[in-house]
Amino acid sequence: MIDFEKFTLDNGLRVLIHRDKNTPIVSVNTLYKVGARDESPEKTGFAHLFEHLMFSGSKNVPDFDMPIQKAGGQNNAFTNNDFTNYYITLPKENIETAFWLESDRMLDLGFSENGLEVQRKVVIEEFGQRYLNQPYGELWLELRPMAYKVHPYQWATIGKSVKHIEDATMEDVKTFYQDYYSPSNAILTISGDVEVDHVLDRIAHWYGDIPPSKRPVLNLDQEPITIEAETKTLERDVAQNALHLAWIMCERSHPDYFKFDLLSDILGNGKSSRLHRNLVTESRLFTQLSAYITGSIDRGLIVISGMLSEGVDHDLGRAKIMSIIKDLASQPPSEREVEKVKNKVLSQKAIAETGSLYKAMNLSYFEMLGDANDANHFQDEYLKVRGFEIQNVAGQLLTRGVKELRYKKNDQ
Amino acid sequence: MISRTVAPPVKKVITLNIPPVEAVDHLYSTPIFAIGDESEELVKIEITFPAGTGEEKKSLLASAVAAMLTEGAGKYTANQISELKDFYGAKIQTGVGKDNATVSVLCLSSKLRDIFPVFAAIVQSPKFPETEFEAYKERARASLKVNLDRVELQARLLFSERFFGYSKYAENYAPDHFDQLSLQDLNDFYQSNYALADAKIFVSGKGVNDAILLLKEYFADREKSFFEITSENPNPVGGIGFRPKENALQSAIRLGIESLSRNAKEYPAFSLTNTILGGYFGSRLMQNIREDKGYTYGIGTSINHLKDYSYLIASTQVGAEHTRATLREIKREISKLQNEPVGNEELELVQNYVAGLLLRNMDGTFNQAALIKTMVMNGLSGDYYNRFLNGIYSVTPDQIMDIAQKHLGFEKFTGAIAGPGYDDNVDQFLSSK
Repeated sequence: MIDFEKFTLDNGLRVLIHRDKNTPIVSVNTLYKVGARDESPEKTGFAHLFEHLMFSGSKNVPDFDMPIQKAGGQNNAFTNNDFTNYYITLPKENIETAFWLESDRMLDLGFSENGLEVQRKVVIEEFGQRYLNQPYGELWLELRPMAYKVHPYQWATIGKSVKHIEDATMEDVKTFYQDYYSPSNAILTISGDVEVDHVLDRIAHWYGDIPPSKRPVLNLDQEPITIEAETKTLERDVAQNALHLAWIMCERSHPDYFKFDLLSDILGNGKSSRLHRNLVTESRLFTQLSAYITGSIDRGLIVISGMLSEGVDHDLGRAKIMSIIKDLASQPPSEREVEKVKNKVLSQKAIAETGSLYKAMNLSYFEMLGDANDANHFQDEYLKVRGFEIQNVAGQLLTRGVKELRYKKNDQ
Repeated sequence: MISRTVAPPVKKVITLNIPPVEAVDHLYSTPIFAIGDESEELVKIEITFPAGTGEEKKSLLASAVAAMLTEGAGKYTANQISELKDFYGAKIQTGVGKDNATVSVLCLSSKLRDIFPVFAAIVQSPKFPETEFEAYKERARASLKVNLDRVELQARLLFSERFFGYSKYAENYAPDHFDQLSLQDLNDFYQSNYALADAKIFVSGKGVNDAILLLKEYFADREKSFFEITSENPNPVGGIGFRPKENALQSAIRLGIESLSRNAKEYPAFSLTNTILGGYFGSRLMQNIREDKGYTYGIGTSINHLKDYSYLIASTQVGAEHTRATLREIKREISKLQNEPVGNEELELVQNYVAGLLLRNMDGTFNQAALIKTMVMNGLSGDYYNRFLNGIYSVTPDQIMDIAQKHLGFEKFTGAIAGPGYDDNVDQFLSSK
């Protein structure tokens, strides 16, 4: 349970404060509701590149990291398809330093040409290190455009190609900032041993005069659910054949979301899951096999990813996976199996609540979805799910087009 | 009017409220360290054994034994273990370092009694069944083959050969080494290295007293072994080796050198020198090679401590065309540390930064438990971290220059590079002025 109080400043900034007495560290988490989904198809990778620029100094403060470190703190950020999250942890006595820096880059970013040049290079190296120079690193660069034909989830947060990052201009940077980096598009969460009234007063001091701006309205269409299947084979210098199957599922706010999530757990979360038990432990057709959902706000993906054993052909691997899904679609899972995946939800929730930073991130995330209170209650939605409902969503996979990406070893 | 150009005053971390590190109880002769917190929902038990890779007689043995602990134990088959573990939402994990191995369970406190018999069996009576062992080797071999395509693992292996090659700490493995492991090897290693008498136990979270009662209820006193990790210092060969990896976009670089140990009087100064060079985001290497030149996504240095040997490592992955330039810049940054005193502002910054890092160890019960474990496993006394903190604040620019001169001569580093074609003689290049 994460107790918190919520406030909204006049400029629209939402503030959540959680008092945690068991730590000398305070976490300051700032979530901006902007991600790769908000990018134009011709300028992808931008939300992420922009995240890097947020550390290149702001109007009144030439350097972001140094003052944080001098105050004994650490900071970082991540970007995904839906949002961008910045976080600072530091000794609680120095929380003022975090407000000073974080509010200044919300007020006005110092746009330096040199900052853009350098971060462009760093992001291109990141593209190399995390995607291009890794075995199977292109997985999401390839699978997303197969799964999404309409929705901007068709590109990964790193972008469609290095070219888009090379082409980013200062003009693009400024427009992006004006559109999305405003108090009315942000959620500020504090977690630590703090006095609520005092902290709120300091937040009003540092953030109160930042003017709001209007976020562009993007009327994105949900990705249609179709029966079109698609298969693509990549021949690469990899050590092992791999197989990935993906289906479009519902959006985060849909009641079926929790059923799909539990379906993925029954199929492929952990060694006792059906796919692992049957195809890794028993028949040994795969050396690794798992199922998961992407968990995005708009229609997401349910994915099954596996590494095939030496000499096992993709068709056989796929057929065996499909027959396990068919079993589940024809008969509901046992009470015990349902209880097992629900227990896992409860223990994962508890694990996510250790440490002040995770609590702050959790509250911010659920507030973005609609209500920070759900950070404490979302498990109820899982506990309500019945076995036949998991059976039903398994059945939906059989009627939807599956997108299949195969990695095939080059013959050497 | 808000003054946005002036930094708010910063307070220094003065003392660390270190929890006591005395054993609260014993399981036979084995000490139990505990830190309780009834506001948590979770409980964690960690047991360490002198069963790290440094103790194995055949490569890959220590990690095979750790992985096989959960593949059948006592009256439970491998399938029953994974089923029960998942059913109770428990995480049972094994981990292997160079000196020690760890077996742990983390779960909701309300489920500990249910899962505990499984955990106790895993620790005390693993069966090492043949079918599961064959399957393990097949999976591990496949995953090692995939990892060998990564330049960072190639550099790591080459580095290990050059740095640790003449000691028990060398990691030298290849996929076909799995074929040389037998069930007898597993059993022998388990018998000699996983005795309760040689273990240390750490309990944290909600319900630590119940956890200790369970330990006493389920754990039998195995024959004492008094196995002790021997001291053995590596003897690095020096120079920089190169391993080609065709078609790679990036090169992985790894450099290492002996470090002072935590007990050395000058260790705080050595530690700060590491921080300044590459120990945090604002470090000189990161600022120069990432933030100024954009050659890499990240570069860093760290100090690692073995039983009786400590060493500093620098590692990065850089765009292949920047390999030489990166080495040149690393050399330049070290030489700067040797020849120019660190400015007071930078020194104060890293002092505060390190103090903040130390304070982070107090963030919640599980971080505090991790700190206790570090202290116990490294024989650090209860006042060690506060003395270290005071030591950090008293380091001077001259001391840092002195440390860099005495201990960080670039020519004394041993290194490894893995990347695309690059046949120049790296050593020669680097020794030139």
